[in-house]
Amino acid sequence: MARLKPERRRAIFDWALRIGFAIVLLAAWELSTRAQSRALAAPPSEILIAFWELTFVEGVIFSETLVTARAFFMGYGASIAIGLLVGMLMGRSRLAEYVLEPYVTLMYALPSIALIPVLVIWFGINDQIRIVLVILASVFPIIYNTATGVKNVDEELVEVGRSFCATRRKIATSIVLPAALPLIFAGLRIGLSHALVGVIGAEIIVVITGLGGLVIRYADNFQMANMFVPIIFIATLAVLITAGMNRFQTVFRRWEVQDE
Amino acid sequence: MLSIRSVDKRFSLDGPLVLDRVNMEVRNGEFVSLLGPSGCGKTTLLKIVAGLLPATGGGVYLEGEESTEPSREKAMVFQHFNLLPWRTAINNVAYGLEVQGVAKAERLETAARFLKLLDLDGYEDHYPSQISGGMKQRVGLARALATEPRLMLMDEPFGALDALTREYLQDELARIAASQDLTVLFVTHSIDEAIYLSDRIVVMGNNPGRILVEYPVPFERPRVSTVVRADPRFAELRNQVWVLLEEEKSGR
Ligand SMILES: Nc1ncnc2c1ncn2[C@@H]1O[C@H](COP(=O)(O)OP(=O)(O)O)[C@@H](O)[C@H]1O
Ligand SMILES: [Mg+2]
Repeated sequence: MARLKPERRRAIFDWALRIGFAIVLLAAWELSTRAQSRALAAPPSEILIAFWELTFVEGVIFSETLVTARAFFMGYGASIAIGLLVGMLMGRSRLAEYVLEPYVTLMYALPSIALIPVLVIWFGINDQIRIVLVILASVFPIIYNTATGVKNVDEELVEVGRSFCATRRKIATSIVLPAALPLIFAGLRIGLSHALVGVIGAEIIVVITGLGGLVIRYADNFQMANMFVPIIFIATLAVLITAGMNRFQTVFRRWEVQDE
Repeated sequence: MLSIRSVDKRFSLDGPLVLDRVNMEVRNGEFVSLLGPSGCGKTTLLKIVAGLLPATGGGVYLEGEESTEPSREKAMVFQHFNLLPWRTAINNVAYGLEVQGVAKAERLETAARFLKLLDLDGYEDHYPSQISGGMKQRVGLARALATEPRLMLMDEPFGALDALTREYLQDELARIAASQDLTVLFVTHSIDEAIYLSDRIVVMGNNPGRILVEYPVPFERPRVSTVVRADPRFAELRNQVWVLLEEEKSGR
């Protein structure tokens, strides 16, 4: 065997440790659940079979994933639009900030799930409740961080725009927005995780649809192996959306890369 | 011609008087330095001229017309460069033209020309975080020059640079001021820099900020740094200004 560089050996060791740990974990799970009632626990081997069944044989999971993703993107998209607008307004207008700040702080702190009962009273048990909840869950961190980012933009950079007679709109788009981008992205990321909690929470607690709906339906029927399948899909969806966001962010923040 | 007439400035109604009846003129093609201790109101005065701050009293006139807002005739070079960090060098230089609605191809061509004028060709696509302080300020200078203003307002543009880079950029500025026939109002707190670069030096005093005295600089442009600095009149003027500033410091 050829001699390996130390850092390469190190990488292989780390990787082996990671895989080894996963195997131990799965084995422990398998062994500890085998003897249990199927109504209470499912071993990973059976989850794997259920995964195959639900995904490739019955295929329900894909359509339900679409249902969840649709509500998520509609709500989160609306949140981004509203959040950026209101955040910019609060960041640029002292009066708007003074008036709106208490509500934003309060709603940001409030776990959105607490609003589910009142939403049900107002809207009934309605699919659209998920979108409303996603907006309520994610719009406030976006507003708050955008406002903070905009407020803290270096006034000297704004003066560059003013010295060239830029219009207010041109200053907003060419200076304030890009300067506030790091905090805006922080808001978008926090909003993203709140939005995921919002959509899945509403699906599990109220409307019983989408991936969240599958989780609660299988759980209610004590189909433990099946129940884990939508959970795996929820996690995958969340990871993919978060990765997409990070990708988007690096495209916008190339300039922060120091030196060649 | 720029004319500053009896400009007063307070930042709030009951705040201290920051500028007290400032009067001065800059003729076309003239290079005037504004020299004074820090906190005497040099930046404030320059920003009032730029139209970035309102005066409390008096007015700023360009060719006889009152000029209270930023305009295409004026361009500003900032002490801390104020480059837009998310724009490459060439896009920073093109920014003023972009704001003025110049078409993309044309503004990039103009920007490239001014980068070249400042010996920055090859750095078009570098971000500000990738270039040195001296290069940043050359980009800042190119950005102001690219809109071809009649009046350049420069606020301690070399104040944040090391001595060597500073002298290098002074020569660069002297060369460009001559070749572009610039009218410059240049703020500095370096006596040497003021003498070397300007036709006239306006000295300001503190508390309240006001003009103490003006000195003409007795050297023809273009100048050669070593020759000017070795001239006995350089030392004499330097000493005169220095004594004045020291008296101003200790007298209050
Ligand atoms: N935005 C501001 N609000 C209140 N006071 C200010 C402001 N900007 C400057 N000043 C005050 O005005 C005086 C002159 O400041 P400045 O023009 O920056 O001086 P210089 O550029 O000569 O160092 C200082 O006492 C400073 O504290
Ligand atoms: Mg200053």
